[in-house]
Amino acid sequence: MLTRLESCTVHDPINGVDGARGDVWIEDGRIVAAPADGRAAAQTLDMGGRVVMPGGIDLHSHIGGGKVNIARMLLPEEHRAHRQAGGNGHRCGSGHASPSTFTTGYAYARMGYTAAFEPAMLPANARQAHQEMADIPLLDKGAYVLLGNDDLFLDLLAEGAGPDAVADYVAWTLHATQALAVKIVNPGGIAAFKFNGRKLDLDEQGPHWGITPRTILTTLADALDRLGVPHPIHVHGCNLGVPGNDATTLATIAAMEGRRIHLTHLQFHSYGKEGRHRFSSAAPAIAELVNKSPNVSLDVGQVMFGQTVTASGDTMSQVRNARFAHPKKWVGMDIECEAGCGVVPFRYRDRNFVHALQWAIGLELFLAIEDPWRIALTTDHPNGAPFTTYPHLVRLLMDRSFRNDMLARLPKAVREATALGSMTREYTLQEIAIVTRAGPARLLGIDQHYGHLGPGAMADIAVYEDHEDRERMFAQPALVMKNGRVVARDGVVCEPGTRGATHVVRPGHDRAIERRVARFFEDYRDMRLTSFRLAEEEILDGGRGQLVVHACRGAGP
Amino acid sequence: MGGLTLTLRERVRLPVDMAPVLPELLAGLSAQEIGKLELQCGNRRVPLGELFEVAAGDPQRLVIRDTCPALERIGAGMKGGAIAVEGDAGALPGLGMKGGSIEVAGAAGAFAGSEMSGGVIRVAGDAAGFVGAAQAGGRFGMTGGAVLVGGDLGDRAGDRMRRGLVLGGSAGLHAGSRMIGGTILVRGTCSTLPGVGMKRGTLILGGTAAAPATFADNGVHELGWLALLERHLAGLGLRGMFPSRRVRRLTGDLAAGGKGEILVAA
Repeated sequence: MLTRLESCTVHDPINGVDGARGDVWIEDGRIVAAPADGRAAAQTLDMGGRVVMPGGIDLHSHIGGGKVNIARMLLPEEHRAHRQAGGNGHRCGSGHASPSTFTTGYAYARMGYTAAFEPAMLPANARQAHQEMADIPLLDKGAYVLLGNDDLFLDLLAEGAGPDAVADYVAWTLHATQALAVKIVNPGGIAAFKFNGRKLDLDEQGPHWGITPRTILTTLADALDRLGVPHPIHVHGCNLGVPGNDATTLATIAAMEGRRIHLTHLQFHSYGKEGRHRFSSAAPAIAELVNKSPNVSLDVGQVMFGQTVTASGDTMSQVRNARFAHPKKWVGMDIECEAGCGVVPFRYRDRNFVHALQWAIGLELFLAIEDPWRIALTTDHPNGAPFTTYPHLVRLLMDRSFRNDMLARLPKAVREATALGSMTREYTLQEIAIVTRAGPARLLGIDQHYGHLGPGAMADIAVYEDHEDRERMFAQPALVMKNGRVVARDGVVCEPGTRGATHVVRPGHDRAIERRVARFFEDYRDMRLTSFRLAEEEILDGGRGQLVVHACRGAGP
Repeated sequence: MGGLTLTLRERVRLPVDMAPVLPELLAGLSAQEIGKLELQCGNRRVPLGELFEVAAGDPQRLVIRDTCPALERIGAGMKGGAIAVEGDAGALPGLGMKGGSIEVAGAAGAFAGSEMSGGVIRVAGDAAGFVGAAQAGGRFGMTGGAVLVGGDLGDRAGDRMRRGLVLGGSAGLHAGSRMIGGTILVRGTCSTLPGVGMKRGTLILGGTAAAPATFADNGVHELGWLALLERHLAGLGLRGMFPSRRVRRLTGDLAAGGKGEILVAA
């Protein structure tokens, strides 16, 4: 069926369309060019000049996998306090910072998002993570598999197995876990924690294997480059949340020596230790280096005030934060010799100097980093704030006077410690479209068919009323389409049963590596290799799921 | 003017969430408007008027008549006013209430006064398990107020209770389990293992109790502060509740810090 969205104000950065008036044509779930033969549309929807963008893409949001479930179990009171009834085809659900799967899908779709990516899937948790994400309606999804702290990877490095073997192991893991990219959390640090390490800096040798985080990072980055995986290594660096970690972050960028790197939740890694509180903003220096380093991309991990829960694979930092837990309870654990997990409930308070400055540092990064294509809008859901705060965040970026009003409410010491008040930049609608859709699509390498409105793209579309209040505008899109079907109108989901696809990469590799992996499994793991590997059919699930395989630049399989 | 009266038309089988039926939420609404309020009944939303006959009156003195145990969460979260339940109340009456009073003429379901922080709940009949307890996974049970039960308490009365008063005729298993503070007064006896996992707080028993081995016997005392408690009870209209001011004091649970006490009338 040919559908025509009439009189749209189109923001489609990938195709260089910035607010042009025009029509968008859709056929069989995809965007098509206006029919040259003058064929009439079977259905015409008048957009009345509203803002039309590709569907939102969140490239870093913890929506599936082990620790999300642990967070849910840790916070029964949150789920009692936030309950959503079912009805009209909706499934019931609960939760605010750790929402249940259905609630997650509905809440994203209501805001005009059509894809979200789980950034920390442990290989051992892959099956559970994918099954959980299969439950999330309305969204396309994918996961980044965690590597770099697992015993086998460190064994390979310590043995001097060479770049081919490492790349093969990385590729094998991507296949076996149906992942889209590779993430590393606190390189070597989680492993060091298990040997009682409480800190591991970039050039410190880790215990047992004697390998530095620098080596782990560069080795993994080289392996991904060799394999041609589109998304660069997704890095949660050393010393998360530690005042003075700015030096580590700057050194990490330098250590990459031009290799591509995606620094995730950079806000948590941009802290100096100046001033009376020994805590200061290092955003200017970091933004300056990022601006000069085209190999670096990032997402911010903005902090927003209120109750949330932090869930991270970084046991080391979560143990450090546990004394700040609110409510006072937390979980830390090892998972299958692969990595760790720490869940600490947290309340960011605007009267607290550190929390308020974290808020300001995130915004400083947003405003000081010039190239919107390399910065993605995230709150590291739920670590900085739940993703439902995005519309408020968009308003902070687009509306300077609103931002300054919010800043004025913070303690004086914070206002004096941040340059935010003097920053005049306001994001344009086009820039918002880049940091929430086009940019993430490009950074993930899924931009051939996602994140734009050119012919051939999937018809994932969000239509917004051009309110002056940008928070209201982005909280309630007038229309959201997924694969060419209207799934939400005026902030109400009308097609709750819609299912999204799972995005993966399948880099080519030498299958001989499996013998080495099998030996490790036989010796140390409680699972057999054959049952560890996630079959394609498990994702396809008799037609309920769908796989989208993205091309790698390297040799095909 | 009499109190606003809701009369249950017929017994319901599926649980009805009564939390929206609070004096403060009904204030200023006409009987017709109240009849249109939607209540969750099982997995459906049902207009209140379909379940109850509404007779106009003062919403600060709400009366619920001909009730049945399917009416759950009566007075949950209430801040003030009075609710009289002429019949049995279902589970969770007064859940998280902050003030006001609830009077139940019959029996109350489980978790009466769970996580409440103020106000008074009076139950003429028995109260089922977990009176004044914490919700599953909650850190604290009741943190203030009083639950006064004329009949008996079920199992685990005052589980994780932090502050406030629970009163009952006798108690079931594990009275005062994991208690963190507050007072539980049982006029009669209780079943096995009272005070298990108790951190602080006071459990007063009228009769002998098989306390866990992790409680230490401190001997018999005449405790002056019990006079204060008696006076406090008199303020709540309760006299002659005290079997004796001479009590045997057991401290424990030593497996959880041991700062709690069980006082057994001597």
